[in-house]
Amino acid sequence: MFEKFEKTLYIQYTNRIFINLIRRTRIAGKNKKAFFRLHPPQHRYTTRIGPLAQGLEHRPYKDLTQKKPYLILCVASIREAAVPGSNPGWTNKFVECWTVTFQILFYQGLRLYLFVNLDSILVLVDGFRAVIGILFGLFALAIYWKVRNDSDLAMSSFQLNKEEIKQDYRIILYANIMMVFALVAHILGAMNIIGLLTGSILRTVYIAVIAFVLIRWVRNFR
Amino acid sequence: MGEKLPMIELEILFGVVNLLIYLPAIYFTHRILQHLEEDGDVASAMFFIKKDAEKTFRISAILVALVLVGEVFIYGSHFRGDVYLGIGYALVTIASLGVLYWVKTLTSVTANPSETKE
Repeated sequence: MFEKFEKTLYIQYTNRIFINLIRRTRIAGKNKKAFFRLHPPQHRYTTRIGPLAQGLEHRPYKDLTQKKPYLILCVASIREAAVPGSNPGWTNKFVECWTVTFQILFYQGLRLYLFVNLDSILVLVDGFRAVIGILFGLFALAIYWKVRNDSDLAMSSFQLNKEEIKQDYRIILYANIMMVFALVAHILGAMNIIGLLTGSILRTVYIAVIAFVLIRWVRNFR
Repeated sequence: MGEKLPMIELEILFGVVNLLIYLPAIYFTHRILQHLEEDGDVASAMFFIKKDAEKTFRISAILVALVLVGEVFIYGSHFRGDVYLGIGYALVTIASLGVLYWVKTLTSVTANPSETKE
């Protein structure tokens, strides 16, 4: 299934590369040197779709660095084009550069938004969950030490009444159900950032909710 | 620690394994709630946890605490590579097992508090 999906993506993207090549060829005309110099190597095209087609083989932060040469190339071309007379083919380069800029702004705009911004959000959410996870783990350890030191009976100093306990377990039940949704989103979205982000956010909420319950329990130790 | 892992397989494996853990966890949590609705009392039942149940409860608490390290590893994977993600997912999965163990222990205690009474 995934191979088919990957193949479809590659075909779609290859088509786009060919369309771009034709467009570039028309614009660059006979100036092959300028054409090849300004044309980004093909592997950059493929790595841009890497998280999808190559199965998330790199983590999102690398996406930013991969776009860097593309932008540097464009800026360098603008600088070069800004010195008329120094290079006979500067008009072509300028047009080519405009094409690249146009592609970045319009063709790649959505992908830049999806892959750069959502990736950054994923890093933030993971970081936030790491902080909550530390608190969560510490509260779990607190319960461990409490039960360990209470040699007689576990949780004997539990001060919550039945209604509070019921409320807590109802929260845990709903949180566990939400975790199932998070995991389904994670599985279905294993090939794209939106699914991973949805799963990540839901797992963060899960940990926050359970941590809240644990705080209540730890605070009610005698 | 910058090696590459088969990421899609890892993500799906993590999701499926955790799904298999959380579905029974939902069942056990539901059983505890059901017991409470039937005029049971978890708070008092906890007084009847024997030493064995206490041990499993402590083990489950330790397992759950592993989420502390696991989530840090998952966050670290954004900067350190995929192996960190694999370790993080493994630790979080063990922590999920702790959650299951936790609710299962309490379910067995609350289901028959008289049998576990010292």
